Amino acid sequence: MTRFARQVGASLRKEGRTLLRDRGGLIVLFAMPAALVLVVTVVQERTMRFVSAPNASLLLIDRDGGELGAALKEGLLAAGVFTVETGIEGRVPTEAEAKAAVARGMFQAALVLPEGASAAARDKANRLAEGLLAVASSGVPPATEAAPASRLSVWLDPVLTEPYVKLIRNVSMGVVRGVEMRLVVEAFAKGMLAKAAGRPGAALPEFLSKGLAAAPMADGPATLLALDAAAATDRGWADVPDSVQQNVPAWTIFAMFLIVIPLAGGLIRERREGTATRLRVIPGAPAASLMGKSLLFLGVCLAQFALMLAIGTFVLPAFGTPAFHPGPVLAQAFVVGLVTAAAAVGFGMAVGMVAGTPEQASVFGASAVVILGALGGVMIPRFTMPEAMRALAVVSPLGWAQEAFLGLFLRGGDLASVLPWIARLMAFAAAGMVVALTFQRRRG
Amino acid sequence: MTALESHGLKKTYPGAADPALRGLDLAIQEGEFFGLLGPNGAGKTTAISIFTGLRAASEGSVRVFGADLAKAGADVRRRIGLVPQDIALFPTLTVRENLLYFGRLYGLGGADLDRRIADTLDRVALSDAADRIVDTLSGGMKRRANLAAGLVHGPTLLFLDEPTVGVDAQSRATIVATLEVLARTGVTMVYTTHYLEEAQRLCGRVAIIDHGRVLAEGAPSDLIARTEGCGSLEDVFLHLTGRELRD
Repeated sequence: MTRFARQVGASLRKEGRTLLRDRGGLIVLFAMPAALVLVVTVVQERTMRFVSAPNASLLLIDRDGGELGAALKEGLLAAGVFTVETGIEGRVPTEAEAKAAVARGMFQAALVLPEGASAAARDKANRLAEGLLAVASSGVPPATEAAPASRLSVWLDPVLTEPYVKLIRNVSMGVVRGVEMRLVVEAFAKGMLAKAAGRPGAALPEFLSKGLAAAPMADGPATLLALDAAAATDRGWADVPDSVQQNVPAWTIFAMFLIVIPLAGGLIRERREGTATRLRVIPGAPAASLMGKSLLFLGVCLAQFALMLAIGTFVLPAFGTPAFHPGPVLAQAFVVGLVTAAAAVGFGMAVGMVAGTPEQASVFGASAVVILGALGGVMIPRFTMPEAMRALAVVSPLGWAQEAFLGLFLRGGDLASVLPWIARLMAFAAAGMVVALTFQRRRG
Repeated sequence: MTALESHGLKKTYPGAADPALRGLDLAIQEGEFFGLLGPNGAGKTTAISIFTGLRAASEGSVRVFGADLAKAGADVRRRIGLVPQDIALFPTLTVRENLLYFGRLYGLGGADLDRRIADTLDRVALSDAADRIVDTLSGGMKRRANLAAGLVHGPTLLFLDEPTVGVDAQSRATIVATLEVLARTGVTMVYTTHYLEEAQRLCGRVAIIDHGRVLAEGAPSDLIARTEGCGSLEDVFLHLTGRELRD
């Protein structure tokens, strides 16, 4: 082993001992991020489900009991983004109870179909058909009073995002319009046949009645224009992350960059207390000391990485969230973790060498990590940010790391696909070290 | 052999109106206990910084054991020891852990380092406090531990920047006794202090400097004898540097 390697080894041991005796530092590095990922993931779980999870829960109170209610339930389920409950604890709740259940977050929406809605719709369809036939035969509409429409009440969770509200409304109204259309066609056909046979009120022949009942409301052979939608990339849809997928990598990155506080603080204290002066008298010691610190904090970052993944995989499910599944890309994720750690160490070194006091370093370091974290999509997912903020995210190394992790965990990518983010992180790490060494020389 | 030699040493800090050193010429022989004395701002710490390689001189040269310090390899630099004015120790480590670290940085290890640490701790009367965290030590013990950290690798040229400042009489006596023992083992010492009676007792030769220049140089007894009306090194010092306040 070379003399320099022994010096680095000695520095690594010294740094390890120093860190182990720094309870505050250990709390900042391990306990705080662990608490953050637990609390934030669980807190965001409900909100993130609204924008990302495929199975938001709806409560359908069908007081009608007719074809409209059945069609509504079928249509909502067919949309593929809802689960539909028709009662709470085995009984049909009142509208007030349903509203309260939504307010408590038990359901994302409650739909209340009033009694007689199907009959009212059928009556309205009949009147519409009669009117059309009267106009067609005599040119004069019948003098019948328009029946009042039944109203479908929808109670929505106030935290639902606008697109989600629109989705519930559009699916519901799509189903209702489909049923309405069928009823109108049925009434019109009935009227036409009765007119042709000269027997008012005659029933539809059985084959026509069955055919109309079986008529598809969505895409089917009778559809005039079908819609085909597919992802524009070979990898398929870039899923929106759920709370766990978003928060586990995000807070891991945040934790890694928090090393700026103990790392920069330690560098400044050494300078102020004079140990840095003593080191500079020893040949090779300043470089070995920096190397020892870098290696120790790289190790700390990787330990944080392992801890956060373990929390995501084993602890979070106990709090009712889905488990974090790193999937088959764990080795690639480790590489991204290592590069992120290098970027965090470079940042810490630079802050430690540029800042004049530990207070400056901790205030600047912590603020910078929070701001860059917010910009980079650590606090809230980037896709929920306004366009301008999303554009700003390109300056955040925490955002680069988050994109690299999401690329692996969520989009099924490999190292090659996240290489641009890895390259940026490596450049950032190198820039941090250059700044640190430049200031170290200048302060000498 | 000359342990330390400086010629025309000048240093001007960036942005400073006056130079800190204005052509310092010194020659210190091996085994000498040399006192570098001067009021605050005289240039003592700057001179030590340059002698130990911490700062570069603006002009002039420094030779250590015959080698140009600017070009000297690690072998020469490892013979230098520094006891800074600040307590330059890691406060959350024990005294032993500090000495282990500095010893290892000097390339020492194993039983040899353990023996050196034990000897050094014994020398500064800290054997019983070896496993105490530095932060928990008294001021005098810290000062002695600071001295031990400068000695652990066995330097042959030791720079001591006010090693007894701010300690009680007992710790001061221990430090002085340690230095006297070191002097007898042939270690060359360059020593700065404001305790002039201590310098008069310990140093074979002193240089009184002010405004970056040597005002007088020689054995304390010679300087006292050749300066009219002076009965002590302190009298000589005040005679040469004046009585006006510097801070």
